[in-house]
Amino acid sequence: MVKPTAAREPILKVEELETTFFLKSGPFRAVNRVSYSVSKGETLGVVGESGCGKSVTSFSLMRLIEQPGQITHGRVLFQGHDLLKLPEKQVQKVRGGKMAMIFQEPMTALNPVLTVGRQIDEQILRHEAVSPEEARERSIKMLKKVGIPSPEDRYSNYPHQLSGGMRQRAMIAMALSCDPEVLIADEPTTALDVTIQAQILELIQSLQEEKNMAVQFITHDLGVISEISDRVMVMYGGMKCEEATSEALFNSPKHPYTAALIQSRPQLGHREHRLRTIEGSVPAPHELPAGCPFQNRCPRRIALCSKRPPEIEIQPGHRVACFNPL
Amino acid sequence: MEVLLEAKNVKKHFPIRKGLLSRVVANVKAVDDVSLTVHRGETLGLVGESGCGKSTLGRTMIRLYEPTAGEIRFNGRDFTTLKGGELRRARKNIQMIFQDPYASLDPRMTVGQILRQPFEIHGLLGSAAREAKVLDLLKIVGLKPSHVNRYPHEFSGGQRQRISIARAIALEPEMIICDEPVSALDVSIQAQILNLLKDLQDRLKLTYIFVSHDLSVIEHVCDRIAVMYLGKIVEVATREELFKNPKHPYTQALIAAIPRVGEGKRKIKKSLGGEVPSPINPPSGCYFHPRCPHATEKCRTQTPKLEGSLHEVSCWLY
Repeated sequence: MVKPTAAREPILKVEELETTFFLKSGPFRAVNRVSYSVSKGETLGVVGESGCGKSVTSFSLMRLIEQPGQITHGRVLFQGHDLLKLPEKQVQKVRGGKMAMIFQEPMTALNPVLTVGRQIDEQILRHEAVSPEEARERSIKMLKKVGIPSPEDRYSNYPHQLSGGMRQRAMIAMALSCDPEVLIADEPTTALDVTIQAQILELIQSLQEEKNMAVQFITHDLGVISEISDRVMVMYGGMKCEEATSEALFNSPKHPYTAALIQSRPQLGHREHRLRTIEGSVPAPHELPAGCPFQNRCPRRIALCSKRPPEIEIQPGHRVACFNPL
Repeated sequence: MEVLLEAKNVKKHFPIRKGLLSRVVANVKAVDDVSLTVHRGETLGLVGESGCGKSTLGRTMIRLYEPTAGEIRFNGRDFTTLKGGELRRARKNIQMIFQDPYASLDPRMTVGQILRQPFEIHGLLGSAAREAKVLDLLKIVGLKPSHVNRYPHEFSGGQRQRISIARAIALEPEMIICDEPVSALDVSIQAQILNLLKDLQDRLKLTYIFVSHDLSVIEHVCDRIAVMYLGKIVEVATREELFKNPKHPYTQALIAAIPRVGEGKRKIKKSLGGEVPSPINPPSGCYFHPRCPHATEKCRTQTPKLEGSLHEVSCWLY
């Protein structure tokens, strides 16, 4: 079912994106000149540990960065426009319309004092010229589509009256209510149990196929990312360190960080007495070294690593930013 | 193998009170008639999804929660009836590590104070010996002597979990209950903590009860595994047996839902529909029957018992 990605037209193109937080301790580049693209019908997985910049990247695309943060460089090309240059009014039209986002914790992303139905209505009314009655009808249809039982009743429920899995479904219904071309899913299953996680992943996949949406799927869970992504991008310390198809990335990682990350995770059926570990911990913002952000923990470090490694294409479609790749 | 801990028909119900007179209107049956044995030196895993009662069972075992009914025997002694000083002395032998090292360490105490506290409570060692012991503990869990005067907020999540572990092993317990000890940590830090727990087990001959929702982690650390659903144990087996030959349809669904790394993109199929029912008003018969693909009339009306010798399962299919 995986179509060759090369033949597809990128719908979202991110070039040299840089987002800086101006902290008291000095400027911190949470996203450091990251470039990638996502095509129609394709899922790009973005994976990394806390603080690697994966969420800030997606918030930057939607122009949802608040003070003291600022997008300091780059372009986000979508439908022929650079989203970073558009006036706020026009960005609002794109956001939640042609480009939608779902979050990890629907309890905080949904408004607790409005019914679920009203929140979906609002989104439809904001983006499309329809009557409130039509919006209501469409909201109920969306709730049904995402597998919420008795959608007419659920329409008038408040978020707290739904279970975690149902809330996530409601948020997906809201995100997809205006037929987005790009869906950004930021850890959408992290707070859910495995069996519910599988239900939500199945739902996202089938809706994606039906609408030929581009999905940018962000998570720290290597298993989930491996199963859902066509291509995977690994981030560390605000930079992209590797990008490849899911199969290539997990079976022959080239960046020492990717390799270490995969090996440090317990895997079913490969039981070893000790897990491989990565020494130390993810550096705090003010501790990030100049050059390759992973150098202080890297077993393959060489003198060159104090400079920023360029991204090289080691095999067609397999890119790595490392001076001494595996 | 020597039995270290034995739970017999343990129940933990939380009453729901309502109205002016706070009458009990219902009970949350968090742990509902569970029997379980833990052998010395092994790691027993408790696995299940949120609300299945795995954490409550762990906490009831050391009487952080008083059991509503049932008996817990530790080292052959009835642990459920102990009181005061006797209970305190017995608890020295069972310690606990919690999921959230941000919540389980007092933010106003230094690491030194945190680690001295177990000795103070039990009146052990003189002050010089306590200081030496604290430094020793820090070394064992991979922290530096210079960390002794720092506060918990100065540490990362992984380091904080190391402090919790140092506190748990301070009194040389026989058993530690680990309640989701790595769930809040990043993958690379998870591996460090799992390795540390394993090293300590070898070195101090510890017995673990390891509570987790993550089957990959459970498979890595546990010798035997008990699967819980809605307050009951539905299956118990050794690790190899459970993963090779899962019997209960719920266990099968849980294992099928684990995402596999490295097999490329695939069409994801849910392994189980529906959601966990409320433990206030659980379904009749087998609690799993509303979601079970094999459910029959018998499953709707009669409750199965956990049966079997080495591989126990509670299901009418067997």
